[in-house]
Amino acid sequence: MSEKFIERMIKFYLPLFIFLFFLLFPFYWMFITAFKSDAELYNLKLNPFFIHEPTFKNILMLFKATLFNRWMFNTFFVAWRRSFLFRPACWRPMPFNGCVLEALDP
Amino acid sequence: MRISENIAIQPGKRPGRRWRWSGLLEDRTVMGMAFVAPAVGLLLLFLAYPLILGIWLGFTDTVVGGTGEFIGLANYISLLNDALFWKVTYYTFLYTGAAVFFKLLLGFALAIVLNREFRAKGFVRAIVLLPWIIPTVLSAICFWWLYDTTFSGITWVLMKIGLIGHKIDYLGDPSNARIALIVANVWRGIPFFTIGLLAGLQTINPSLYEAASIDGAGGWHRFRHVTLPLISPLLAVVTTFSTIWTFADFQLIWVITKGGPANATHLYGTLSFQRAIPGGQFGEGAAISAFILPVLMISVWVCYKYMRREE
Repeated sequence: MSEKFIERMIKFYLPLFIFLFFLLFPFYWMFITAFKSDAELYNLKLNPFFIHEPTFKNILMLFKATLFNRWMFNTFFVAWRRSFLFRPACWRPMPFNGCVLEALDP
Repeated sequence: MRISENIAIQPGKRPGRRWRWSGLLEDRTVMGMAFVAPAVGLLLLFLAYPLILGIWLGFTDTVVGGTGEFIGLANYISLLNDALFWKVTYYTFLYTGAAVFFKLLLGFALAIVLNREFRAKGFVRAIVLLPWIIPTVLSAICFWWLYDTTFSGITWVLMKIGLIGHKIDYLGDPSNARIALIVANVWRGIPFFTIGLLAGLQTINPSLYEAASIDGAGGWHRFRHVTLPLISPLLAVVTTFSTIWTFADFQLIWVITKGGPANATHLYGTLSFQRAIPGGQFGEGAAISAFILPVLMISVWVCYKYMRREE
């Protein structure tokens, strides 16, 4: 039982977690960077992998000082138009069904 | 009333006209062409026209905001005598080769790891796709910050555990920058291989593995003689698509290094853009991007061949 568990650990969970760490680490990095103040980002004495003083300043600035609402609307609008109204030749979502056109448009 | 009058007035014409129209409607060739016409029109307008225009521009000395004259192969000749162009050619092939190789290797490995039953299977498969879904510009900015010389998290860890004594200049040193960009591209491209190949792995009948096990095949032999032959058509298609995208890559390079330092990380795509738009030499830029075409055409041909075989 326990030998089987160790085997499963080494053959499955260990590689899985290494892969997940590699693939997801940049997302963690993005996330914490979004909630840090500039002073914290440029402070070399702090551990860069934690948020020491979380701040919503960056996000508030996005909504208050920029036209972010408008840009978000544009994104949704373009995505909607492209997905449902104007696909020239193919409706399939993945490129494995013989549809080269769809795949050329990543 | 009026209808019947018309019929009464032209009794001889009607059967003839009716025969002609219904004949057209039932003619497979005519109707087929009519149904295909809108799609062909769109393809000509949105794919063929820009492509042909691009190739044509490569033979002219057009500049931004001006008109150009036909100058034959002069753009191509000057490019072939340009040492920078050869440097870019070298990196384009290195980037494509190395990135596609590692994406294939790691993506396939992850697909094999995920191809079994475990808790939260659906969730893990979904989050594995994340790097491929988010906009490239966004992940590029993230990697840019991660590769910052002073504030990089990677450097911080390496210094803490004492592996290095000084900071690494990820993007300022030509060979470091080249490797860093390949790593970023591999990160972004793994999910495409994983999901594509995972779909293929799941279509393999488990009884084939059982039969192989009964015949005494170990793990490696099962992989080599059952998995690989069955998945190879899909492998070819997925690799081809990835090659096309990687070879024509632009966003990642442009956001992170803009082709620097000292033009060490330009690809055909970024060099073409730089010469054509900020540099203003439209003709030359078009000529550079024309060098992408042969590779793309070979890729499409390989892909087409394997897709036919799959059917």
